[in-house]
Amino acid sequence: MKDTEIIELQEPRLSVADQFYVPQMLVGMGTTLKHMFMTLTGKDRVIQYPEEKREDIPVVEGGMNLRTYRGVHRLNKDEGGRVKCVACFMCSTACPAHCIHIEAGESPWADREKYPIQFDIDELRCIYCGMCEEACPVDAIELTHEYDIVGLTRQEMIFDKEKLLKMYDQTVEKEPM
Amino acid sequence: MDWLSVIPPFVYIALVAFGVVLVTVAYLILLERKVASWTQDRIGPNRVGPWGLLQPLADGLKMFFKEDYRPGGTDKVLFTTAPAAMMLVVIVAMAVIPWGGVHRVETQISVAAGQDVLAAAIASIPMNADLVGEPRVVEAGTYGIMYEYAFQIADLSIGLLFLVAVLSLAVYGVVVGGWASNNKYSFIGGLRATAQMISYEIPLGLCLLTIVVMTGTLDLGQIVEKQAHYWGGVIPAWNVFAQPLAFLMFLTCIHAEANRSPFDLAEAEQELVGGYHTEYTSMRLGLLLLSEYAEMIVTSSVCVALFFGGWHLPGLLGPDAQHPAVTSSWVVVLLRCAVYFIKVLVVIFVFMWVRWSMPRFRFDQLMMLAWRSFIPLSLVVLLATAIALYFAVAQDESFRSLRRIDGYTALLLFGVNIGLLLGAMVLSRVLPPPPLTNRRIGIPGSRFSHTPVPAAGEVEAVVQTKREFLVGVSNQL
Amino acid sequence: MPKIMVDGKSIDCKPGQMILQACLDHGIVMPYYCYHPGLSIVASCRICLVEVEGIPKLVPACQTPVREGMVVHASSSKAIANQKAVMEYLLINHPLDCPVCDQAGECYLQDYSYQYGRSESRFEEEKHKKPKKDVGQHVLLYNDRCIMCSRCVRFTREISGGGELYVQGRGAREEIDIFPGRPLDNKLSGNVVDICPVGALLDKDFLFKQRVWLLKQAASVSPVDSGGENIYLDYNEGVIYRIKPRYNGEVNQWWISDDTRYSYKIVRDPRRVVQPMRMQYGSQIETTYDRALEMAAGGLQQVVATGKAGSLYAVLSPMMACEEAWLLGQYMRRLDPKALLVLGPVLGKGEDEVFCNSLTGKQTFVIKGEKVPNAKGVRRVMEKLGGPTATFEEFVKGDRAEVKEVKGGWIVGGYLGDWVPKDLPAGMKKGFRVMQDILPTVLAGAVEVVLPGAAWAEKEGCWENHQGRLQAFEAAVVPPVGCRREGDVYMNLLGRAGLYNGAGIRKEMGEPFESVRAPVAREEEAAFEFVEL
Repeated sequence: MKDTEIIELQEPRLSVADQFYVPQMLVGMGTTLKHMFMTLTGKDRVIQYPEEKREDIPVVEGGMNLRTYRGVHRLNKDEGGRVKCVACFMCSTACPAHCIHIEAGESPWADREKYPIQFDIDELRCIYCGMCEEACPVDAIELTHEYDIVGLTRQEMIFDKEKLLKMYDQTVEKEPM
Repeated sequence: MDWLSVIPPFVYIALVAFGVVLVTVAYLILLERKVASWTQDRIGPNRVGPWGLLQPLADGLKMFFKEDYRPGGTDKVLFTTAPAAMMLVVIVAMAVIPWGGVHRVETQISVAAGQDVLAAAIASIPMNADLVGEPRVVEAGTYGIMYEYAFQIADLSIGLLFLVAVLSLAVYGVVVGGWASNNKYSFIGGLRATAQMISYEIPLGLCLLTIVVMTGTLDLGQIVEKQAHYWGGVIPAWNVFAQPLAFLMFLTCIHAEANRSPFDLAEAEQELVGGYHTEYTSMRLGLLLLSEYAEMIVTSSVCVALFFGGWHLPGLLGPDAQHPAVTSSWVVVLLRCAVYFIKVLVVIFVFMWVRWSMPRFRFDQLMMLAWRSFIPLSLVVLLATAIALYFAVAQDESFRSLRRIDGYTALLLFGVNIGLLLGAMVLSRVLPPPPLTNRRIGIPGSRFSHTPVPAAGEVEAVVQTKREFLVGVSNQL
Repeated sequence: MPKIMVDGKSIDCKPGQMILQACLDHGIVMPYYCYHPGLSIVASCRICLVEVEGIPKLVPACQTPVREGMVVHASSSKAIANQKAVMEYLLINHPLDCPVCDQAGECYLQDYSYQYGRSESRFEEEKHKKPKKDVGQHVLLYNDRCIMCSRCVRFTREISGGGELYVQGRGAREEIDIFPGRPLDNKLSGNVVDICPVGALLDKDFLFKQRVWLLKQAASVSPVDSGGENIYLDYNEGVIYRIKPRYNGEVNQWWISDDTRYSYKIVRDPRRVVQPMRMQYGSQIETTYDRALEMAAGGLQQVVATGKAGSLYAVLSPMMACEEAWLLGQYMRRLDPKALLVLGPVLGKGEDEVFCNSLTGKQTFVIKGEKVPNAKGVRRVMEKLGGPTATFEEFVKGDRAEVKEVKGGWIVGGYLGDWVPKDLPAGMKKGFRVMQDILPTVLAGAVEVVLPGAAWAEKEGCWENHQGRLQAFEAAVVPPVGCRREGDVYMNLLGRAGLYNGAGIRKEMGEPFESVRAPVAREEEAAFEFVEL
């Protein structure tokens, strides 16, 4: 660092009101008081989560935009109920958090070469950016609107292929492919 | 019922007062969380009981059933004594709060012939009650007597002095707890509390003195009573209207005294983990937290007594002298207690409101506020009040006899206060600014400094520069 | 030295060189599929066509020799139009299955499609689908991905010499095939996978294992024989997935044998020794590495203390790096200045396998019969250390005086298979024996201390091949839990600070080891990528 790069900042000179402190303080306390009234009269308050959910609220009122919301992943199935994924590793390559682990193998089906023997997503490590969805050439991986996933251990939060396919079954009616 | 009348009133007053205060303390924590929520657009605790009303119960249960853990290397005795001492001191301080003013009781006693009536009357009334007037004869051997007692636990004539003495002991809980914890954060918290307490006791005492000069008594009950009239028939004669500047300083000082934000440097959680109670768990921690709220109640009560006329509510109750019967009614006494308590709650709400609006002071700002503004200002206020009163008293006989401030004197004092405030504001603009804190200190050779790196042989010069610099800094401070 | 002008840039060429090779030598990028510097030129892919002034039609750069003063336009509109046309033509029937194709990421067709192709296909008809074929033990043929460059056919004819692959059919029905009943099973068959510019020929062993862009490369040397073939270890997250040849014009050129190609399996072999053992009351028990090392050092010192000079021996395996052999020799000589250094068994005294061009009969590739990589190097280290030495045969026979006197010693294995001879030398049958090996052997079950060692891919060092070339190699992965690199163990025993570092040790060893250069990584090796393939 050169001396010329150092910028000395002077504290701004206080006005009389600033220096007396009380008027400025009252302004601040007025703001909090306003919020108290707003909250108590129910005009402005946070969403009461378990009872109210963002997906039930219009977007303009701060609700969830379901068109763009990115939640937990699912692995889509094709018409035959088989996993759509072809184990091309595009999602794990695109993933900035390195949370997708795939092990590929030769598929048991005649119409396809490759399929994932193992497909794990670490939902704790994932940053829900949706890059995997973008990268997928066969639309096999998708981000659903589910966000309230819980687990007792870290291991439980690593979703394997079965869990991701189950996620598809759970969400396919609400969110068709 | 005989044995019941034998119990002196201060015993049940104490029981009721402590019961109410301690339950209130528990619920203040709920209120605090609610106020915090409201300012932050939230609803606050609402899971335990209706509107979260059972939350304090759940918190208390939790505190009791937590593991009572004491880390190694702590001072065994002091570590446990500190929270107890803190709570104890606050409870003791509560003794002199004049909750309901004076309660007057009329009763009859039968005196055997030949006995001293007065002595018998005195023997029959409760311990700390005063006989009012002479016993009057109702029929042979039966005298009607009237006695009164202050509706407070201990009716001390030096109540204010006692309060100041006891409240300043509360800091021992913080300091001793911080020291006994054997933790640097706790220790720093304790140190900060000490420095803060020393600084803010002075303006606090001076503000109290201002009121004492005005009222001429140290008895809190009497101070309240002297505010129970009107100026110009309309304005209640509360000291806050005569001494707004003193009130402002007093309010600030009790914030500091109760270690409340923005003066909660002793437990500044962003810097000191938990401050003095970092190492505390279970009910020991519970006591420390409760005592903070108990202290808030005590200091608010004092504030109400000194500046807001205690139990006095305009329009609701007239002064005692004109309506002697009023004071003998239990309903009125309890109503006064309620009024007092509601006023206290309002002040406590202000405490909380401030906490959730203000950021914490930096330590140097805290010190600057006490030493550079409050101490000189409160000294001047005291002096000016004394001078103003001297002239007011010289002209007004009623003041001398009743020791009550009349409307003109109050206006004079109000004028003096506002004048001093304006004077202080002008002076603060005229006086040179205080030395800058937290500024970049130029150390020769540092890459963040403008001072060039010394060549060989210039070391002496650099040392000299450094010394000059340090001397300069200390001069500025 | 003819000079030619390519796209306004003047370059010096060798006389008789083709335009394409001259350009590649000078870093001018030009697309090509069928051209390979190690194979004959057929000019069948037509993507390298360039404009040469004075010649009315485009000429194939790979097949046109340079001439003094030639002016070549490689990026003229005509040349570019040709490149686009060729790309479109090649992609007509090429399936769009890059996501599942193992070649994706190192595919010429993919790269050129980005650089020279168009983003959309105008072909609306059904693509021609051909079945995949199993053409040999290691190789799978996806005929629909093939672009008919015939590199593989030329390889089997000109390098491996068997001529197993041929072009069957004509025109649109043209495809690579094998003769019925004659699979591609020569010992160089894996190379056709490397030279295939697209994903038509794939390695069964690597199939679907990993995507190539995830792999990192470590330059290494083949451990299977004394040929010293230069290789790359392709690894990711601590696992080696495949071995690829590394060009070395004087050793292996572009090719490696299949033994080398699949030798990486030893690294993750489930039989690997990973548990240090020590002898207690006549039976081996599990122990920690530090405890085992302590016991090994203590035991050897006791042998020296009770016996006379020359009672210690060390079997230096020809699988060891020269640096490791040097460090172990130093350690033994420190304990016992007259310690006997024995070169471990040099396996495989069979004949060299020679491959010839089936057309010209010229020798093209040799797989050495000596199946250890560093017999020469360890011998050189032993010479350098001086003192009593013996060959393993002498040690087995046991008639030399030094051999008879040994009471205990340090045995290093590290072979890729079982190496312990049936008739154990007398010295190895008794006494205090410390054994360092990667695979379990009969001997390892009987010695006093077993120290799990590291495979060659887990350590660095240098080996000397049959030509006397000292070649350094680098580590790709870390040893499995429980194993330690031999070099680190010796550094520890010698009481030296720090970890084992091949280049540092070579510096102390003096010439010729001192001047061995560390292997060059791929990025530094070539300014442009496709030249050495």
